[in-house]
Amino acid sequence: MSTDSPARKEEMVMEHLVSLTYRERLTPNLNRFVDRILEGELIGHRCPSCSRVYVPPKGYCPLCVVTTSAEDEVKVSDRGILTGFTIITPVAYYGQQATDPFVYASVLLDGASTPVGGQDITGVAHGRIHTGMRVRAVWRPPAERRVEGITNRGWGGLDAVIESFEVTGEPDASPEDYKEHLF
Amino acid sequence: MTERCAVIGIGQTHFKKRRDDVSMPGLLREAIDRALEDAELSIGDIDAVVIGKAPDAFEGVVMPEIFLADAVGATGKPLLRVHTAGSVGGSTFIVGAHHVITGIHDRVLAVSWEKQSEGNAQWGLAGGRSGGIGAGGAFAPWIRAYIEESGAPEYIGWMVAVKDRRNAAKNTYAHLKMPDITLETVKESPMLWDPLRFHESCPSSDGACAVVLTNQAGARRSSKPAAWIDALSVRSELGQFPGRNPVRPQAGVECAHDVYRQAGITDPRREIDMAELYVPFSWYEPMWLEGHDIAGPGEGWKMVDSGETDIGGAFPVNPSGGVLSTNAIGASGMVRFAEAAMQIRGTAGEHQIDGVRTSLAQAYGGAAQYFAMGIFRSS
Repeated sequence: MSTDSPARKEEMVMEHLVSLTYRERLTPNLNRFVDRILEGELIGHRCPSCSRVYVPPKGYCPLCVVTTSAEDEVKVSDRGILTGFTIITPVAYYGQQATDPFVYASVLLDGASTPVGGQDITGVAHGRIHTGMRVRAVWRPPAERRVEGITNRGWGGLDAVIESFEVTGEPDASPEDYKEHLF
Repeated sequence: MTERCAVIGIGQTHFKKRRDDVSMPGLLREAIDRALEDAELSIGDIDAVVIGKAPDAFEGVVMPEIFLADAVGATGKPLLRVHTAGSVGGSTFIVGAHHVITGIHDRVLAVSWEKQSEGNAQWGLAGGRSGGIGAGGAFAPWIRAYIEESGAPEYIGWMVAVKDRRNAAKNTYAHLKMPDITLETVKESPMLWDPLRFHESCPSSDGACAVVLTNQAGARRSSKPAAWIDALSVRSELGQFPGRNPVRPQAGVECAHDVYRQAGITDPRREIDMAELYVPFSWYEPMWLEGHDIAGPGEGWKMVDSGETDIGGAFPVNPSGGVLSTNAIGASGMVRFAEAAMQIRGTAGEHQIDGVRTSLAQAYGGAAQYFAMGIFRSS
């Protein structure tokens, strides 16, 4: 029997979808970050050695190799600069709900040294998006904010609190202002 | 180095979208048997086995090294599994070579693979969640940054795609063979990850690659020419930190400079005869030419534009068709090393370049944060 016949191929395919739900305890630093974003505030840690500000707080500066704590906490703006982006045509896979092209952008918040990645950009046609644009957070109403997607592995899940970053219409930032903080 | 290390056996499977005709162990064995035949050895002659693949989530087979031990001939022998994301095939090769260089073993088999049709890499990369961006989505903003900074015309990406797909048509084992592809074909293909189009992106393949590595005594016993390893290096860095330049990651710069230093190379563009670079998205060819200081800043795309990286050019890149034409992720890094070694041995068939005496292999992975590089010479 040919192994290429459709009937034979179906016999070879076993649907075996596995899902896992797990709960984890956030680090104290992320816990404080989550408490504050539910209130509509963004915080980071300023490294006591080099003054770089990490958002969300990592609890350390990987460049100076020093720990940071609540004492190093600083508030950062919910406005910033679009430093990099792509527009993604979603690929179908199990669990994928996106069907229309979506923006995937990095935003350097005013006062931060690291951009937040994976953000949507609104208030502008996809074709007119460019780096250097000034943007501001569009917060979801307090009752609709969700933080389940925020894990110790990274800063994903911010979109359940901040719906998107909307262009403000202010003049573009100069590349000099953000070139050291692109990604 | 206490021992010199040579490649005396190379085996690849035919790479395809689906290899339903073989199991995962069968796929590995196909590459291994070809490598052993090329090396004129049997599996009993092998002292140790090193294997590597990309994340287990790509096939949903967890810790495959356990159930594959028998199929890869490692029963009763040392078996190590390596993982460095997309660069894993390169680092698996290097770990295998280190077993020989340190004098611990005489003959080492290194094999790497991916059987992507058994799972979904996009699902794996997205952790099963919606809104996955794929590798293309992660690299696209950096590619845009390169284009904006270098001022390269958009057709450069199309040119790389055309070159690699046409080269692949000369490679028996390649997945995507498109001998008639033109700039128009690429230009008119759908935009996937702006600014990357469909034909500027790698496919998803099933396949494996294996190499047999040995010392000077082992190479003397082989009747075929060996490819001698003159330099090997691995470097890594964090995926994100303030001031990081992901377009030209410092780990990539240092990895390249390390292999050039080991091989006594001061002018890579002139002293290296060809390169197999990990180019899963067209723009990575000029980006790595600059990121590894083969070309100066803003000069990489000009090497593409002038045809210098064509098979007949002064610095051919990816005569095999590259990752852009064949991408079984875990295998892709090792295929770069295997192809660079084949060019030295004169066994690359239709895509052989005349007179290759020094070749460069490179693989990268993660958020362009893992690098594995090697330099081969004919003597």
